[in-house]
Parts: sequence; structure tokens; C-alpha cells
Amino acid sequence: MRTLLLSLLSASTAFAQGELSAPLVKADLSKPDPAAAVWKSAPAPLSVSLMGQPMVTPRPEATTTSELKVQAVHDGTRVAFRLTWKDDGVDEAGVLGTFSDAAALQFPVGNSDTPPPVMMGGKDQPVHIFHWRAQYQRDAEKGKPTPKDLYPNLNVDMYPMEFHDMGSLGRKPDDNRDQFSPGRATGNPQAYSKTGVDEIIAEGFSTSSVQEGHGSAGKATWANGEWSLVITRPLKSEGGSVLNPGGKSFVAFAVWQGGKKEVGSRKCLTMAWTPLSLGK
Amino acid sequence: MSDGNSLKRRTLLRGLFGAGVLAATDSAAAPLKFLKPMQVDNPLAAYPNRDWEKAYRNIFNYDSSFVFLCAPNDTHNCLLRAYVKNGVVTRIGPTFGYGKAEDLAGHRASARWDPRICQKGLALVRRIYGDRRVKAPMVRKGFKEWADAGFPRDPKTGVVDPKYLQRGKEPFIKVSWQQAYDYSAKALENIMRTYSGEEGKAKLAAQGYDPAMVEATEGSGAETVKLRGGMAFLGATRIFGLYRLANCLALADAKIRNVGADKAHGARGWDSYSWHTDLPPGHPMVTGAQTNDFDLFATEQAKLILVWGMNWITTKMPDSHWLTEARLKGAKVTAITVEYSATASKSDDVIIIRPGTDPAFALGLAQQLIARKLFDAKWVAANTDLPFLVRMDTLQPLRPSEVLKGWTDAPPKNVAWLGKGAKPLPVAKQQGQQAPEALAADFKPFVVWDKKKNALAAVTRDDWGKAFSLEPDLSAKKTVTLVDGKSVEVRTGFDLLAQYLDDNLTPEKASAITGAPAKVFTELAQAIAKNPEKTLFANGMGPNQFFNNDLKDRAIFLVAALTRNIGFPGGNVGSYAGNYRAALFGGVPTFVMEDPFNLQLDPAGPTTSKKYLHYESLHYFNYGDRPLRVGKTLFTGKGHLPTPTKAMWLNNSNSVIGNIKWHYDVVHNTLPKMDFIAYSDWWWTGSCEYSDVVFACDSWAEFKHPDMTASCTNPFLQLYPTTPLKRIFDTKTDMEIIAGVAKSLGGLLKEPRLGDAFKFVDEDKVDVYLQRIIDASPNTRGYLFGELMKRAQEGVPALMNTRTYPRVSSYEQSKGEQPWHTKSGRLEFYRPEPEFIDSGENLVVHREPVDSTFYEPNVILAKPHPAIRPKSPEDYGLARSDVSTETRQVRHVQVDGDALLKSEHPLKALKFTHIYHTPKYRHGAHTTPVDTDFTGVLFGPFGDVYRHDKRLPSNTEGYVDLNPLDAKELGLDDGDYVWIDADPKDRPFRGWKQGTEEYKVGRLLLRVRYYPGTPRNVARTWHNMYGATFGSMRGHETRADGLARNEHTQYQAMYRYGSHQSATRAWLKPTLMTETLVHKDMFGQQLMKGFAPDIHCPTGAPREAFVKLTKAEAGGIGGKGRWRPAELGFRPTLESEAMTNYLKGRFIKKG
Amino acid sequence: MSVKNWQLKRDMDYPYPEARPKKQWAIVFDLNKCIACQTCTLACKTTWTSARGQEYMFWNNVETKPYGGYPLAWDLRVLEKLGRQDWAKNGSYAGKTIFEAAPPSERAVHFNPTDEDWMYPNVGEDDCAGGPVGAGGAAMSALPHDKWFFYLPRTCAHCTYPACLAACPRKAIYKRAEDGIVLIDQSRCKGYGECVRACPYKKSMYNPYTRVSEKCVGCYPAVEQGIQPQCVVNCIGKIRVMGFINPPWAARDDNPVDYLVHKKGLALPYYPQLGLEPNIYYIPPIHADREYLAQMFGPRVDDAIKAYQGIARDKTAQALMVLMGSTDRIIHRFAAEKDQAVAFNEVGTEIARVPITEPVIDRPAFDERLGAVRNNTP
Repeated sequence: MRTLLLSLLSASTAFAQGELSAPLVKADLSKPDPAAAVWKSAPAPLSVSLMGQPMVTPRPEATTTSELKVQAVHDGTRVAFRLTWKDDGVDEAGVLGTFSDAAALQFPVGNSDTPPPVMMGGKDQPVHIFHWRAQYQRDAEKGKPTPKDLYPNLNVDMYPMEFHDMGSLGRKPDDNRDQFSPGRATGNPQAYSKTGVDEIIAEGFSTSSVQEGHGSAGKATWANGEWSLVITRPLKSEGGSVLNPGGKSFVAFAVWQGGKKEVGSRKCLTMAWTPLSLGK
Repeated sequence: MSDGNSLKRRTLLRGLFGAGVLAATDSAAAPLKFLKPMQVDNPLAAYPNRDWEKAYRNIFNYDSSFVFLCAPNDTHNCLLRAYVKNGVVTRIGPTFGYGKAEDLAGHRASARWDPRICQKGLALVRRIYGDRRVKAPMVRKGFKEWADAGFPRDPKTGVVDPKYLQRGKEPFIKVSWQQAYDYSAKALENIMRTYSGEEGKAKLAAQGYDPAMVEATEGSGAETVKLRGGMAFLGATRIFGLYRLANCLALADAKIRNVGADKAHGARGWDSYSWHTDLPPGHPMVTGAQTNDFDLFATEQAKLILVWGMNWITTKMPDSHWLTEARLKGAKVTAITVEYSATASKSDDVIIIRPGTDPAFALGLAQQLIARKLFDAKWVAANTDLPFLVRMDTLQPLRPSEVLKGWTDAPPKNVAWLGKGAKPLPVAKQQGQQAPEALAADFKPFVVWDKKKNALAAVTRDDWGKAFSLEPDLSAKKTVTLVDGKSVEVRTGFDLLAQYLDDNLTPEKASAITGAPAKVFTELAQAIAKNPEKTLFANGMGPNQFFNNDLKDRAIFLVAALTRNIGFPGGNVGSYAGNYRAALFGGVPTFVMEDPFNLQLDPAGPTTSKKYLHYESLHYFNYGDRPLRVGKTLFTGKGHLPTPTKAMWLNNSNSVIGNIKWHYDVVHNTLPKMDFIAYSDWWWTGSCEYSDVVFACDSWAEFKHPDMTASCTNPFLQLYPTTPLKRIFDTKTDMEIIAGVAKSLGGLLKEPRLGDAFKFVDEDKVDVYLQRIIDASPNTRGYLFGELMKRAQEGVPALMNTRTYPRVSSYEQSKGEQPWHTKSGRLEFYRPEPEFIDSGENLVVHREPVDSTFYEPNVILAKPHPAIRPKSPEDYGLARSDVSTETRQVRHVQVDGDALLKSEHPLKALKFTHIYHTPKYRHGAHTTPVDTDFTGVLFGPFGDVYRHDKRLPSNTEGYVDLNPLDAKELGLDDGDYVWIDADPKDRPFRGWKQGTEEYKVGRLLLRVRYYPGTPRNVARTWHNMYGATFGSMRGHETRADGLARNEHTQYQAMYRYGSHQSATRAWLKPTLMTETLVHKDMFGQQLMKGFAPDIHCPTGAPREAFVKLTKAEAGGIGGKGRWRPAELGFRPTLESEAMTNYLKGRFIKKG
Repeated sequence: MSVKNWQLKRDMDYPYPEARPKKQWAIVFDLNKCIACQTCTLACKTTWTSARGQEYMFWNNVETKPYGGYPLAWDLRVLEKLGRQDWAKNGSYAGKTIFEAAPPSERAVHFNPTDEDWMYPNVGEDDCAGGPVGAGGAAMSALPHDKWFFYLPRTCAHCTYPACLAACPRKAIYKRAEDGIVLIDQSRCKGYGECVRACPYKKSMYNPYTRVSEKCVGCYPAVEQGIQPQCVVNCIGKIRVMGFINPPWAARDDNPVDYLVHKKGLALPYYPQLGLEPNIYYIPPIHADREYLAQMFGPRVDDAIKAYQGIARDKTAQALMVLMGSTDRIIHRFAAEKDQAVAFNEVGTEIARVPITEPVIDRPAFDERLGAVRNNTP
């Protein structure tokens, strides 16, 4: 099974059936909105099939999300994608041992005809990923939860440099507090409040790293067992994925179901690039 | 970075993907760092980017550090190092300075003493900055109104309108320090004035106090003021300071009653060591000294160590390694316990007995030692009173003058007799024993039957130890003719005891009483006999907290004496509970009792002492401010009598009120009779909850004035270093507070000497008092305060210059240098005093516990015996059938073993099933600091910092340990909530009523834990917890998060309702209130008689209760379903199949 | 890949090739001395995990065996997943490790704790096995006891073959070549929690506030200065010694850890059958059930206990045992000199010297110079 997959995937020219076309539309795509009118007039959704990530461990036991419906439009400066998939509940992570629903778009960096390996790119063949999480969206909408938000009955006497009554210390507790949270002290973006979508560059499994966001945004709503997500990004991000009106590129997709403890490499994804063409 | 970071990609990644920087949206803190995609080859071998590792180095680094002393009442006293970052103590650690401690001769302790610290000390970092600190002087609303109204009272009775006395239910008001001093001074002045003179006595009588108590005030209102420096040994100046104030109040009394110094009374000082039931009251009965013990590291010298009723592993944590290392090096450790305890798990042999049967267990050993002739007859003959003949007609010792013609008594030579008014030598110079001439009559010689001469022979106090040449017949039983011609039967104390033991405590009989297998008595007796001078008896608080504790001590000493195991480095008896032995600071009286009328204000000048304060046992207050008067008899000796308590001021004392036995009775029946309650503390305790004035004290880490302490279990002299840490809140050192009130009272009464008495505090020269104590104390004389302080600030203590290292009690006696501090100069096992004969305890006998027994409580285990002739209930005008708690205390009824085991506790008929005891534990030293988040969450099986179940009163909660088989019989699941009710006649408090708020807060609700280590029908709750108060109950019921926290005070309870003291009560034992027992005084070598605080006075029985358990709620979160660990099959007797296989080690197969 | 695991006396599968560090951090614990005072726990907690999201974390914890465990029943639940396994007669491991038993989709057999499993960090404290004590009382006059429990202090074992490292899909966990300490890169971790799932000892913990996983850092900031970790320096039971262990083929008799583990066979790794070659070693408790101990410490447990009971006649062993806790420095070499125990640092400087038996000092009853009595009953 594994070897078969390898041979299948080593052919980087393996494309999915069907092509996704993003027509030029007159609409403001800066604000992601799954319910926006533009999606009614947009071309019918393309159905792409996903399977449990098969390449590296740990991986899902089975395929939990087998199908994704995608639409795409662009306005000359931004491109937006609308993704819908089945998930029987909303999972935003939070308390210990819980994980978030999520989805991601992946684009090649650079516009060669032969795109990078579809799974996270490869060495010197970077890919540009736009990763949305329900957890990140919650941050953007309600603020990043504190332990007290996650555990309302939590009872702690104090945190470093931060007491119920500062007494004669008087001074407003300072930034030194964060030195006791190594994740934050090292500036790990994961440890700070999210805006909804992470932009990531990867050159193969285990290499991915979050980059400074440049105007991408995401917004999802959940109803009747289905997520509807819109991710919007600028067509051009210098040094990253660059899309041109009238041009062609590739896109790949991945979905995580937090309720099924999917995270990281435990995901369902498209096994091949989907050709993407942008209208003039 | 791997080579993959090619130039090409670097260009590619420039701009957008260059390491950008962005301020985090939720913090102005460390900016985000964006890394480039990273290729890692083999992370076992190498990792590209390790720059981030500095993050943990930054956490570990600190700006500065300083040393402070942590000294709760756990006897250890650890110098700790605090690490400071940005001016805040972020963590604490050991100093590793104990191995550098030296004595005056340059002897050094070794680094095997390091490290000294514990989890509670480390958790102080959560407490120093904690929101339950007392942050400023606080005054209770109602008290302030009463004071502001000019202390109005009922003109006839002096009673205060209850509207001013709503303690525990009102908010506190923050006041300035001067206001707090003035309010307190005015209240004290008003109370002293109100209760002075005949008028004052009339008011007290009208308030219904026992007439004997009213008389005891002698018309001085100062006698109704009770001060207590809690565990004063822990603070030679700041805590003993309250006793100094008590003595100085004679100045106020003189003003108020307009009398001279000769007629002035000081206030009353409450006891400490005996109040905590830490005093083993039988020790002075046998050795004449307060307590016999040894530094715990004496284990290094022993071959057999009996850890008896002492959970050494959890209560002597920093000294546990001395026990485990002794075992490692070949010593045998035997645990005598009431459960399979932490200490049992570190022992070779384990003997689990029925709680409170320790006297029977020890006597069972003695029976075997004697019956099998395993004892050292020669040592017994020379060092104990056992060979002395006792007259069977009077039960008094036979005296030479009664049988030897021409004999005339002469006072013993080994006591220096002080004529009337003669001043004793300073304690530091007292090389031998001394006593007032008035006592000489108590030191009559004794008579033995000399086997060599086959005749009666006199034995004076000088004939003992090596000097003793006779060969007495230990079992002599004769009829002798007295000089007056009368002939009487005489028998030795040894013979009388032997008969008692053979009648009642042969191995089979002792086994039936104690639950230990019969063979244990033979085997253990043989093992001890094989190790003379090498067997240590380490006795703990457990057996000591039973009503029969003095008998327990006398019985254990008997076993040790029979086997020559008293007074040797590797062979001795020790009792371990709380810290004490203020006598190590023999110079303390120069401070406490400095004559307030002639104060020495020159730092270098000599001081004079005069005692104006009177000491009193706190147990009478605990008992409802009553003496023990049952029927028409007053059992409290005159010298012991308490006075009515109208005002109290305590420091370092959560054990009083907050954690007092019978807590809710004190709150509801005694506090309402009180006019003024003040507390000095640095943490808001249950005691503060019920106070009128709460003074805010510095934490140990903030001390601005030095202090000094030492220990009864280790050889270190400790200074409390002054520290550079800025005070966090508006606090002061205890001494400054005492000085402040004294000065304010002085101003009120125009008596400047009240302020002068604390002159050196105002001048920040407390070291003057400390140096005076150091110079006058035998074991510290020669040290200089300045040098001690310098070393302490470096984390290094000094060594106490006692006779030996380790300190070993009875050492001088076992070497034959000094007699014991008794009438006979020997170890005494026969007690001829009337109080003992009336109680049927002239011989060492076993008495059943007074409440913690399945059988008839407090009966004397004894077949008819010619020397056991107690006063009967009828003699006291009581019905023999009356076994109520009050009369039970004085009920002297004899039963034999069979009858005892057939009898029943009176509550058994009412479905009461369990002995309920409340020992101390590893997670708190008394109550320090169990309630911090980090320690609380580890306190027992229910800890949960996230408090998934909001019923949790805190991060943890009190629980009751039940044998799983009992619990199942009672329909109680592991983790359920259960009601615990003790004797409904008087608990939780006298006069409780269903449906009242008072009953609701007092009735005990606990979690059930299936605990397989406890025997059937023996239930346990740990002692170290904060009980429910009105405020904590309201918080628990109204807060969204369900925390049992008082909104007004932040007081944090660890119970939803009640406390471990809901089931306990006060108990007074007649043999601890005698006028006749001769013993050593507190300081020095002076002998005295009758009441002495912390030496001869009541100790209560705080571990006794017999209870009923009733299911309240299910254990699942929110009361739904079972407690998860039980449901999953991970709990004892509820195991899943996998758990069963795991317990049996079935997940592997050995090859 | 196939790597050498000396604790199993065989080679085994592991995702990366064998790469032993120059020095390997290790702690030995004498379980006969552990008193569960939790001082180590608080030392670690107050030093490393007092910030937001770390409330529940105990990088160092002490649990009562067999009924205690944090997270709840962690070891039983891992053993259950692994199933019954066998040791061969020659002392080599005939069973499967968690790596070898892993299904194709996983890197290690594991138990994945839930939020509720992290409640009750001290559940089971002092609960004894062997059935409830009966009515009246009981007596045990032989070892092992028929009622028993013992305390198990646990830190990260900084394994030679860490499961956390093996499972991290981002390769953000690594082993330091200079001391063998295993770290989670706090700047790169994305908090997938794969290490939390895979570590059978459950010593990787997810921080729900910083959303990255954290673990015991072996107190490298102290170790880098020649000082032992906080949990060792604060151990008042004096049960611990931290040092650097060599593999058996390079063992040195005067190295404290090598002496206890290799020379005397007193100290054993815990759950070696899981295949991580953990580097915390335990002197097993002599009073506990032997079958249970073998399940936890392997087939050599009986020999270890026999060796322990021989220490009473072995001055060298006694010397090392009384040095434990007697210095905060890392002991690289120790020696017994007459009645004293001596410890040396890496460059051979003496850092501690203590008597094997604390002497008795008898002072004169009266100090003439100071005019003071020296009395034991003052």
C-alpha cells in the first residue's frame, strides 16, 4: 500500500480530476463572508476528494473527511475560496486533550509548471499554506481564552509577578511576567492570540513554520453538520505564492476534525494538486 | 540551520518571509519571532537552533537572595534562602548551611544535616504575597461601635449587649496602627476596671461563673485578661513578649486598683505545650521532668527503633533520613501504629493496634519482661522505686521512721534546700537540684527488703544508681511490725504491678484488648531485652491525644526501665509532638518576668525579675470557661484554678479558636461571654474570623526585628534573620505591636513604665533582650548575638551547648551524676498521692479511652486488686449507670478484660459505629500552609486546581478515611459526601438546634475515601485544615465558583461545612490537676509541687470521638454518579480486571 | 532503524539511528528513603511551572504505588495497551516495546490522557495493596509486608530513546549532545500534543495557554553550572543523586550512578520493557510485593533487593548512601575513607566530606571558663 502511494505521489505531475476556476468578480473580498452574495453567483462548487494523510505517522486510522466542496473568485487584487465540508460538531479546542476543527489551502511558491510535492512541498521547493482554525477564529472574535475562561472554577493564589493584591509593590505588573511562559518568551506565534488564519511556509514534512501574516483572513460558520469557510488572500504576496489574473496555478486542501482528535499530520487532504485558473 | 538554507531561498524568502517582527495583539510582551522552515536530520544527535534555550535560563536566574527562618510548630526550624527577581521573591530553597553549624568549642555538625526544608517552606512563596495575608490592622464593626460608644455594659452584671458581639458575621474595618493600639488599650483598661474589686467579683458571679473561678481573681480585673504567646519557644522575644506584657500589666493593675507593687497582679498567661496536647503528662510522673526525649538523629546509635504512635515519616520530614539511614546501616525499625501508615511502609515490623490501647500494649510487654525474667533486676533496683515497700493498709510507702527503731529522717543531700525568701542560683549556674525547704517533707526516705541482710533497710534519696549498695527483694511481700507495735502487710511496687500484669495483661489478654497477635508481646519483649541501651522508644502525638495518655507514658517508661533503655544515646524514651523545651533558653525569665516596677533601661545593666503574671491551662477555657466540677466535687486543684476569661490577646495561635477542640462549642457558648478578643497573625486564620481586633504581622520573610528559637528534636540554636525584603503590606513585627499597645495603655493610665518596658523595641535594639537571654541561658551562654546573626544571614545556625550532641534526656541520670527530678530521685512507677489513689491509678493500669472505644469508655482494666481502690461514682454522689461525657471524666469503674470486651459504648445502640481520630499529616505543619494552591492540590485524593466540581470548597477538601468494607456496609461509595456526627448531647456544640445557621456551619460534611490501611470501624480525618465559618459557608453557597471563602476577609475554608473539630470536645483528667505531684520547674534544676504550665496540667483528649456516618451526596462531579476513579475501577476493593492484573504484576512474565 | 538498548539486552526498532550523547544526565532514587513529602514537587513547581496554563503541571511528581498515578493510572493504561509481555531467561526482553508494538498509523503504542485524567494529582496517597486491614489490628514481622505501598517520585527520564522525540511530527524535540537532556523547542513547538500522547511516562504536558507542549528540562540551567537539579537539591529524604551514567560497557566504579546501577545492581530503570532506555533509576522498596516490582523494574529486582540488604556490611555503599543529598553539587566521583564519605567534582576537587556515622559529643557538665552548666535537662 505504502509503496504504491509513494510511486503515485512521486509523480509530482499527478493532478486531481477537475479544475478550479476563479472568475474575476466585482465584490469586496477583503472581508471573508461565507454568506456573501458573490458565492451565489460564483461557479458551482467543485467537489474534491480527500483521504486520510497516508504518508507519515502519526496519521488517521481512517478517512474522516472524504469530500470538500470548493468555490473561488478574485477581484483583481484578492482571491477568495469558499470551502464546505461535513463535521458533526464545532470543536475549538481549549481544555486539555481537545483539538480544533481546521482547514488549509496550499499553494506552490513560484510558478513553475511542475509544482512542489503536494504534501508540504520539499527541500528548496517551498509551499505557501493558509491555515484556518476554529480555535484561531475564536481568538479573533472573543479574544484568546485564559485558563480562567477554560476552567471557570479555577483557583490559583497568584501568577509570577502578578498577585491579587500587589500591596507595596504598587507598580503595574510588568512584562517580566511573560519570561515565565517560555512559549511566549521565545516569541512563538503559537503562544499569542491569532487572527484566524496562519500563513505558513513549508519545505516538506516537519519543516513548516508560521510567517508574518500579510492580509489573509478567514471566516467560517457551522450549521447543520457542515462547516462553511471562506479564506481570502492577496493575489500577490512577494516571495510567497503569487497568482495572476488570467494565469494558472495549483491549490491543495486539507481538513482536520478536532472532535476526532485530528491535529498536525492527523488530517485528511487532497492527494494531488488541483489546477487553479484565474479569470481575466 | 541546515545547508538547505540556500542562497536562492534566502532571496526568495526576503521581505515577507524574512524574520519579521510583530507585536503580539494580546500583549506588549516579547515580540513574535518568525523562523524559517527548518530541516532537522536526527534530533537525537543534533539540533540546528538552540538559541531559544536562554528562555529557561532567564527563569532560573535571579537578581539577589536572602535568608529567613521558617519556624511553624513542627520542631524543625529551617533557614531558607529566598530568591529575588525584580524585587519579588520568586522561589525558595535550602541554604546548605547546616553542615557548617558549630558549638562554642568548635564541634561541627555534618553536611548530612543538609538540606533542611520542606514543601510547606517552599510554598511560603505563595503565602508571603497571598491574598489571605492580614494586610493592615483590622477592627470588627460591632466592636468598633461598642468602643466608640464608650464600652456600655449592663450596670449590674457588666454584660455587653449582644448586638456588639456578632463575631464571625460582620465585616472588619481597616484602621491606623495607632487606632488599633488605642482601641485595644482602652478595651483592656475598661475590662480590668470593670472586673476589679468586690464589685467586679459580684459582676462575674452574676454572669454565672463558677464561684471558685471568681475567687481566683482575688479581686483583680487583670486576672480576667488572658494573654498567650503561641508556642512561645518559637520566639524568645516576639512571642514570649506577650507574657512579658502579662507581667507588666501589674503596673496597670496597681494604677486601676490603686495598690502597691506588693499587691499588684499581672494578667494570666495561657499554656502552650500542654494546651496542644503535646506534653506527655506521664513523663513528669515518672522522671519528674517535663518531657524525656532525644534529638532524633540519636537513631545513629541505636540497634532497635520502636516508632510508636508516631507518623515520623510525615511529621518529622527533614529528620526522616536519620531513620531510613539507620535502617540502611542495619538498625531494625518496628512501627507500633493504628493503621498501615507512611511510617509502617518504612519499617521492618509493623504492629497495628486498636487506637488508645497503648497502655495495655506496653503493659503486655512489661508482663512478658517480668514473667520471663527478661528484665535487668540490678538496674531496676538501683534506678526505680519498684523495690520500695508499700503499706497495704494505707497504700502509702513504708517509711523508715515507721519501722526502724531510732530512725530520724534527714533531708536528702542531693538537693540544695532554700530557706524562706532565699534566692535560687541563676539557672546557668545550677549544677545540682534545689528546692524550697517547705518541700522537704515530701522527700521522705523509703524502705526495701534487703536480701543480703534479709531485713528491712532504709533507702534515702541519696541511695540510688551507682551509690546504691543494697540487694532489695523486688518481689518482697511481708507482714512487718511497726514501731507503734501495729503489724501491717507490705508489698513492693514491683510485686503489686506484677500481680496486676499477670491478672490482666498476659499475651492472650493483651491481644484481646489491643488487637495485636499474642506472639507479638513475647517476640517484641525479647527483642527489646536483647538491646539494652540500644532501643529507642520514639513515641508520637497519636497515643498522647487520648485521655489515658499519662498511663501510656508510665507504661512505656516501665518497659524501658525494665530493659535499661532510659538515658542512653542509643537507648531512651522520647515523646514527640510540637516544639517545646523553652528551658533550653533558661534565661527567658530575665525577659518575661523582668520586674516592671524596676525596669533595667541600660542595655548593659543587670536585670531583676519578679513574677506578677499567673499561668493557667487553656483547657478550662476550651471546656466552657469552667473548672472540672462534677456533682458536688471540684476536681480542679486550687493551684490549677482558672479565672473567668473576659479578654484575650494571642499571637502565633491559630490553634486557639480557629483550630480549638470543640471549636463550635467555643464559638457559640464561650466567645459570647467575652468582652475582647485580639489576634496578631500574618495569615487570616479561623481565629481571626472571630476576633475583635486583628493585628497584621510581618511574614518570616519580612522580619525587621530579630528573634530566636531552638528545637526539641535537633541541636540547633536558630536566629530569625532580619531581611532586606520590603514589607508587602501594612504590617509590623509582633514585638512592635505589643509595645504599641503597652505604650497606649501607659498613656491612658499615666504609667510611662508600661512603655519603657518595651523601650528597646522602639529603639530597634531587640538584640539587647536577646543577648540578655543568651547570657542567662545555660546552653547558649558565651554566644554573641552579632556573630549568630551574621551566620544566620548566611544560612548557618549554631549548635546548642547541651551536655551531649545528640541531646539525650536522662543522660546525667543514667551516668549516675544527677538523680531524676522526683521525690525519690529515681524513676517512679508507684504514685501514692491521694489524687492517684482515688483515680485507681497509683499503679500503672490500662484505662479505656474516654470516647474513642467500642466498649464502656474510661473504665479501669483490672480484676479486683488489693492496691487498686479508687473512689466509686457513689463516693462522688453519682449514679454508676451515668456514663455521660461530663461524669465519664471522673468515673472510676473497674472491669476485667472479659467484661470490658462484652461491654458497649453507650452510643452503639444509636447506630454510632466508628472511632474517629484526627491526626496531623505531611501536607501541613499544624495549619501552615495547607491552604495554598500548590500544597492544597496535593492534600489527599480530591485535589484539583481546576475545580471541575465546584462543590470543592478549596483546591482540595477534608475527607474521612474509611475501611472499604465498613463503607460498603454503610452504603457509602468511594468519593461520596458523608455527614459525621459525634455524641449528639454536646457536639458539634452544647445546645445545637436543627435548622439553625449555627448548626449548619458546625455539622461536619466530608468526602469519603476508601482507605484500606485503617482497621474496621476506625475512621480518620487529617487535622491540618481550615474549618468552615459563617463567612466561608456564605461564600460557598453564593459564589459562582463555589469557593468556601469569606467575602469580607478572604478566609478560605477547606470544608464546606464543619471541621475536624466538630467531633472533638474538651476533656479534663483528675490526675493532671493535682496539688501534690513533685517535679522539676520549667527553668533550671529547681523542684516544685502541683500545677505548672506545660508540665503538670490538663492536656485534653483531642483525638477522641465516637461517630455515626450518614450519606449526604454522590461523589460524581456535581453529585451525579460515582467519583470517576471509583467508576473506572482504579480504587481499593473496586478494582477493574486490568487493575487486578496490574496489582499482581501480571503484565510481564519473568524469564 | 535498529538501535542498541542495554536495558533490554537487545537491539530494538526506533525511528532514528542510535546517537548516544557525550554525557547522559541521570538520577538515582532510593525508594526505601522516599517519604512523599513532595518537597521535590514544590521545588520544581515553584521554579518552573507557576505560570498560566501550567496550573496542573507537575514535571516532578510523587505518587503512591500501586493506587496512585498522575495522570490517572497512567502506567496501568500504557501496560494495558501494550499487553502482557515476557522477559527471557537470560534477562533479555522477549516482548515488544511501544515502538515495535505500534500500529502502522502510529509511532508508538500509547494512552492519550483526557482533561479528567489530569485531576487528582495525589489520588491513592498512602492507600495500601494486599486488601483492607481487618478488624482489631494486624502484625507484619517479615519482609515483604502483606499490606504494602511505596512512593514513586518521577521526573522526565531524559531517555536514550525518547518517545516524545520519536513522535514529534515537527522534529521540535531534541536531545542535547553535551548532557543528554531532552528538550521541547519552545519557539517551534505547535502544540500538536503528539509527545503528550506518545510518552508512556506522561511527562510531556500541553500548556493550554501558550498552546505549546512543555516538559522537565532536567534543570539544565543548574546542571550547566555543575549544580544538581532542583528536585535533587531540595530532597530532604536524601534519596536522590544526580550524575552522569555511562553505558555498561563504559561504566566507572567510582562514578556514583555507575556504581549503583552497573557495579552493585542496586538501582534499576523503571518500565524498561517500554523500550525508551529511561535514565532515572530506582533502588526498589524492600517491603513491597515482588511480582509487582518485577513488572515495574524488570527481572533483576530480587537481586537488587538482596544487594540492598547487604549494605549494612558494605562501607563503600554506605559512604555513597550518606553522601546523597549532602551536597548540591554534581558528584562525579566518590570514595570511602575510613569512617568518612568523600565526594569530588568533575575536576577532582573535594565538594563534600561527611561521617558515615554521626559522632556523639560529650561536653563537660560545667564550663568553668563561661561559668555555665551544660545540662541535657536544663
